[in-house]
Amino acid sequence: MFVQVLNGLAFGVLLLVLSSGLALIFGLRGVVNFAHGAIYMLAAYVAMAITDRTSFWLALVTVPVLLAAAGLLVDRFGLRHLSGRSPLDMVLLTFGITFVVADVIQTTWGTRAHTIDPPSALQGSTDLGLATYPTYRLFVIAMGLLVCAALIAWLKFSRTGLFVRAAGDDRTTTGAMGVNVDRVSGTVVALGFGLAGLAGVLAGPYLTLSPAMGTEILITTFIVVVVGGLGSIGGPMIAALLVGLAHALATVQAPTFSAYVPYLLMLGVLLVRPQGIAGRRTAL
Amino acid sequence: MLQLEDLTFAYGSVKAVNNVSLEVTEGTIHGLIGPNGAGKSTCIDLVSGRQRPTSGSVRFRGRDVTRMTAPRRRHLGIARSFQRISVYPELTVADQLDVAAGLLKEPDVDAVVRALDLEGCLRHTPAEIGYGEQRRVDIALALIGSPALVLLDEPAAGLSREESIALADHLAELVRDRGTTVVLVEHHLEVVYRVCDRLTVLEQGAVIADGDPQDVRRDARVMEAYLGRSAA
Repeated sequence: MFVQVLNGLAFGVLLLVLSSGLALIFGLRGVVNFAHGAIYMLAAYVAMAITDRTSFWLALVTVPVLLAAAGLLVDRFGLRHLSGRSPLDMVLLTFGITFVVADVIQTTWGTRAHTIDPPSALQGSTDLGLATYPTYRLFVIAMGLLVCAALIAWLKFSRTGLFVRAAGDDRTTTGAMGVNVDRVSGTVVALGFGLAGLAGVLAGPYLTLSPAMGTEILITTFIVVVVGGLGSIGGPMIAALLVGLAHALATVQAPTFSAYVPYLLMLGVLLVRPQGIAGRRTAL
Repeated sequence: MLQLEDLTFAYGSVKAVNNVSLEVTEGTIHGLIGPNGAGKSTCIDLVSGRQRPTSGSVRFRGRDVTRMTAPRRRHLGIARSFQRISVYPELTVADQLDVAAGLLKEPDVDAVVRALDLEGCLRHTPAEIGYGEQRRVDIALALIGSPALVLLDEPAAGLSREESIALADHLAELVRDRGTTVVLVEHHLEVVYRVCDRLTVLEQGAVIADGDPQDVRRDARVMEAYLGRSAA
């Protein structure tokens, strides 16, 4: 049971890092970023290439930064120009990115599955008293929670975080008050892409790399954001941990139904709270 | 200080603002009135940069700002309030004022808070304060940074007569102390006549009268189109 809770936490924090970025981008740009899973997958493959040639630690630092830069470009030359147009245009753009990334990955690395070895310092298991547990997964949990705390602190205590919260509530008013909302949105899209990149790098030595990994986790991430509530950041954070724990416990207790657990959780929450745990808005 | 020249804004075939030209003098309170749908708020949107005109120009202190973004106009000294209140349901009043202070060089938040008597509600969210206080917060957001021109869109909406008069007097005292120029869109005519130095009346997007408030009040077209009905 203890190990299953830790497994749930490890998967939950991956979802947490991914869904935070997705929720932030939705809050500022009003777009459901269908490319989020593809960015996560690209990060995992690029991390594999860097790890093979140099080290995992270099990948952990550089890949999120590179993808954040890509996010900045996507916002500057894509999303910004499409804001104010039909949401379908934004959906088409992010879907387009997904197809391009998936083709690049299949052309470069093929369709077979890959794995990444954890760095030597994080190989093996750690004795936690109640059980021994893979050290790398403990690292994933610690990193995920650290990123979550840093994100909350940034939103709550920094000036840019205040602008993000304000623009998420009302872009027009915030712009009229002198805040460059496009610049704030660009920062948030870059942050979202960077977080997806970080999740991809962390997932590399933990899950199997395949051209389907982006789509698989994107669906679960959407469920997390819907359960957490659109327009909220804290809600998806709680929902990510709930979905991760429910999925891990179901894998042992009811393996036949474990794949359905996120959907059942979403159904249950939406029946009781249609707006999600902390939601205020509806999508599109 | 502010010149609108042949300003037009069309939604499809409907002209919400139709060839409007007017001049606002520095240091005055300039009222903009008219029946619902006359184009008052659209004019405010065009001056603040929320909307771009279909044709015509907006000049501020001699500079053409017609194509300038709203944030740049705010930094240049054009600020506005909104008809909506509680635009930030989850931000405390202090946070909202920090957003408005944002990147301004001299935000003077404390002075605005004192002037509008908002010390007691800084730590509260809009849902936790009274309607009159929410209205004052809306005005405070526009006054921060001592902008040269403040566009107030129905600041007295929803207030009682007494509250509206008190707000108008407060506003007049405040803007005169600070040397601010104000464009005031307001339905409460008592408020308008009490504080405005000049008045422009719009009907169906076009200017039908412009001048001294007492002269405008007696204008036959205005009486027929707007004031006459209201006075009756």
